[in-house]
Amino acid sequence: MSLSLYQLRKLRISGYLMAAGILAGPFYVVFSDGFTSLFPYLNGITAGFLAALFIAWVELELLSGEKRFLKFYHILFIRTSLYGMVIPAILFLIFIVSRMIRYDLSFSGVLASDEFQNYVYNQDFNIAVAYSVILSFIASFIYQMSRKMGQGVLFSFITGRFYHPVRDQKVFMFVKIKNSSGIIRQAGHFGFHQFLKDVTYHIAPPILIHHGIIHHYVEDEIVIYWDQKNAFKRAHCIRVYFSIVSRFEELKEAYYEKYGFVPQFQAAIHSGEVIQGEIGEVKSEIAFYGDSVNTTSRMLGQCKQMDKAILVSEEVKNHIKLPIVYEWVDCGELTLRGKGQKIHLHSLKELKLPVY
Amino acid sequence: MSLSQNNRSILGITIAGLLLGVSYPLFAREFDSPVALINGLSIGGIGGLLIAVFEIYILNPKNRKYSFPVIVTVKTIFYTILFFFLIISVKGFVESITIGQPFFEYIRSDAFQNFLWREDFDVIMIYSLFMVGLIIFARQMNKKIGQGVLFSFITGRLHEPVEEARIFMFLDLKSSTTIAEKMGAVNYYKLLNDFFFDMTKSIKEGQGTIYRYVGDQVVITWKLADPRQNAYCVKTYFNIKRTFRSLNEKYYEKYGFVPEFSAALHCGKVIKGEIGDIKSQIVFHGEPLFVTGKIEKLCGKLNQSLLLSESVKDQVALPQLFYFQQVQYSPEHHADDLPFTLHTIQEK
Repeated sequence: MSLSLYQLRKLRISGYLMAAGILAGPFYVVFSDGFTSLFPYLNGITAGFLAALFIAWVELELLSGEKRFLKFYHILFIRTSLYGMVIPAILFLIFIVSRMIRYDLSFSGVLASDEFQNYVYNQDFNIAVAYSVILSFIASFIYQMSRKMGQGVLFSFITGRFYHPVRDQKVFMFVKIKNSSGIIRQAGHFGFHQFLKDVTYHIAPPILIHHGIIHHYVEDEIVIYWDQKNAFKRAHCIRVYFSIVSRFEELKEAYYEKYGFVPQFQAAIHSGEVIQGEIGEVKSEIAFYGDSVNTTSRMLGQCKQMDKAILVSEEVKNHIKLPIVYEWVDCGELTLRGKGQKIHLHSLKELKLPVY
Repeated sequence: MSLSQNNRSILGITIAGLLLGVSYPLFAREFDSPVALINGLSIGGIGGLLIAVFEIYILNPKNRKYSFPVIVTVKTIFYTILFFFLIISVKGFVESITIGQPFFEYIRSDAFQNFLWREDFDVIMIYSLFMVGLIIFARQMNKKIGQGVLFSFITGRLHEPVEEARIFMFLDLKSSTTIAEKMGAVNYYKLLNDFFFDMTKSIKEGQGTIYRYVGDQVVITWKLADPRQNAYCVKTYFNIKRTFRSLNEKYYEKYGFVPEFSAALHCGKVIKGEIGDIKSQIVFHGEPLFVTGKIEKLCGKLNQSLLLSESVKDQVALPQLFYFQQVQYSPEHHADDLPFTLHTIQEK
């Protein structure tokens, strides 16, 4: 069930890639052959579609996971050789198969025909190959960049969506690694960096599964947000915390082996109105401003004081239909540091259900 | 060595133009003809130079006025016209010289008319515009994603963290919480955006790298070098100060007050590396960042607008007219037991 949501994301990205491929294929035909016949367009569309399918497989399956941390030259070599070999092969096949269908020839018949020989040696076969290989690289570059910049950030930058600030209702979750100063003392800054790199890597899948968007990392904190609709649906914003905890429970042994301790998390979840806008001329960021961001941050501080693993505000609690394995724990109303108003906080506990 | 920021961008874009220009005849199977190569080189080089000049000096907006579709339409029309004339004149010029015909006579000749209407003029046009789009896109992304970050992301060179000695400057808008409560979130956002925008030029000229924005704070960093080079961090501070002095009236009119800021400087060894999977960031970790943050907090308490640690003082050769002055502070101000003396800088 949860796996299928993760797959859904891959499907969506593959969909974008294929749409781009289907557009890019005929585009080539327009500027090489013009509008003389329909036939090359069909080939263009097929080539674009197949190439996109291949790129999606390389980027999403082959080069996913830990392989992304390979050396630059290795990855460049893999990409160049894969795209450089498979994409010309696709073009060859399309050319041959389309002639086989159109002129009712056999495979070897097409190979022997003058038209084919002419196409490969004298006509624009090399341009078609160069065009598709270059486009493949651009597509994979944009995909990788967009992935590094964070969900939706590249799109917002390009379209200037947040050039002017936008007012919206968001749900925020601040996740903090417990006792990070102790970790630094024990492992040093270098070790802490490695540790943080591992944690941010392993925390991503549970967040994705629950439709969360990783906003950024600040020291030992990870800031996640949702549109209200996505956060409240199926209690995603609450379940993500338990997903993260159980994910690290699975990885416990690996962390013990590498660092001698396991990361533990504290989280604060709050919802409210914020201003979302692009900030900074160089090193731009999509930033959030508003009282609810500050409140969430203060709630995270409260987690430490009250020694709670998770604190949820009343605003969020009212919208959540909790799965039966969890139960609310009332933490009462209190005034947060630097805030005038009182806020009603809740914690959660997981029920031990009897196993039949 | 010290090419200005703008000249360096112009050089970069022109080189990119040359490479892209020369690669067209290579894959159009015209590499046997030197004329085609010369055409490609000149169109690419001149085109690149023009793009650079237009993007940097003319189409570089001072504020964010126009929406994305407007910009795309304007630029598409603009560059279509530009390259239409550029390609015709370069091709006409180069070929008329090789043939030994006057320019206008060659333009009217059948060979050239043939090229315009029947041969690959349209392909060259589309190729050029596509490459213009690519250059502008890469430039914008490089800027938005931060100085040097795109390069690190592409090459993945920070997958393995490295240790570096760096100077950090934390620059804060003074009393911003009170301001924020008074003016409301949207205006506060606009204020911060203007505040960051107006200081960017001084930071770039001072060869500083913007590490990140945290609320109302900018973190700027320099690699530790020789004392004369290190003085850039101090110069940057004074340049920013001068900029805002000249903008006082603008801020007063727009927001009803004049922004003041404070800065803390400290240096030391930090770890630099890339973290994150779905969202990647280049981050610094280390003691110096904590300490700079603490010094920044002291700025407010001691009512100083610039504080430097002893270690920065030792690494910086001040320009004349400036001198260091030690700042006395009582123990109650540093509950976090800062182990060193603090300084500020005065003008003679």
